[in-house]
Amino acid sequence: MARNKTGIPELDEMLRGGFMDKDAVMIAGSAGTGKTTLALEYLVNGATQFGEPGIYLTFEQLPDQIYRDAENFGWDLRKLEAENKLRVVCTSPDLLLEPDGEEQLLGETIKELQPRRMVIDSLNHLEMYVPQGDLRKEAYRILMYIKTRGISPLIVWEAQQEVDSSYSVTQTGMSFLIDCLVLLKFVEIDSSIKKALAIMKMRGSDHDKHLREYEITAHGLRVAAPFSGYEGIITGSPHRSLTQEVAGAWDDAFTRTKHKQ
Amino acid sequence: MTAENRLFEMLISTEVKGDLLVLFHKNPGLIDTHEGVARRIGRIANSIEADVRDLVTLGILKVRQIGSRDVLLFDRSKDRETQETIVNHLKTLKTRMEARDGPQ
Repeated sequence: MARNKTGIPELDEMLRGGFMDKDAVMIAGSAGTGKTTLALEYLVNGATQFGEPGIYLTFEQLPDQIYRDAENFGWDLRKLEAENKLRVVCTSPDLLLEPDGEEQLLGETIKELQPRRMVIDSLNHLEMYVPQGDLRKEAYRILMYIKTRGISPLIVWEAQQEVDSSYSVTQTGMSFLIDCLVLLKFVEIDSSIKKALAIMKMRGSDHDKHLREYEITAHGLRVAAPFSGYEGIITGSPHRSLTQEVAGAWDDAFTRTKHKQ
Repeated sequence: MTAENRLFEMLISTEVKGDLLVLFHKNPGLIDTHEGVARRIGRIANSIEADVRDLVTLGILKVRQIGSRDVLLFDRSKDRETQETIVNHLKTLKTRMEARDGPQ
């Protein structure tokens, strides 16, 4: 089965080789978790390492700002555009909802670039223009437009993260349309804020079930080892797992006994 | 007045045109309605109409219909052509001035 590598070795390992080709992937997380960075890295690596041109469709952030942010990671998007490996398209979401809107907005670029990957940043902006209850229908239409042109879509979704509670990324009923869901979230561990990544769903494929720590470095997103010895991280109230607590208690008791002697 | 002169004067004739050119140069992938484009330079649609028309006439901006709405987009190749014309024009002016007044 063909896979689309992200080019982030640890993430590709978690995905057992990469996202499944033409699967609709969603990256969900709250503001500041690095959704856009991950999405851009996926496109840049696709264009530079795997010969897969891509389109970045943004609704609010102007390309100028995206070029600048990408430069901080060493990604020259303007150069990739000049080489016909990437296009950053910026528009109002309501235009995508007009009859034949996708074709009018993207058709020419698709013909010119022959892209294999496409990022939509973000679905939340589209949601603002869609009548209540119609998001799933509209998202389905747009995803099908992309998929039938041989392009693998990746959607960015900003999900609210509330303190001490879990959050659902499927409130809008999107889970039916999404083949792979990557969740990014902040977690508090030992009084410090860390970033955690998990693959919540990957239709038709095995995947890593661990929650892993990740960092946004000067070169993009880097995934580290799984969090070990903690439970409840996904729900927002991490605590040391029973095994760890028992081990800790033994350790304390042993240390105390040793001091007494 | 030469065609290059007319082009140059038209491009620098108003502040709005300057704002539009900067916006589309920095964001060549922008495709938006008149209202959307106006909002992105902190103006309203009515106030940019005449300047948009000029840039469309020059071919730097293109108009396309999406559904019932007209949208504006940047023509990268036409813009490159226009920039070359302007650069050549400025070089010619400089050469003429130097021939008249000596090197600056």
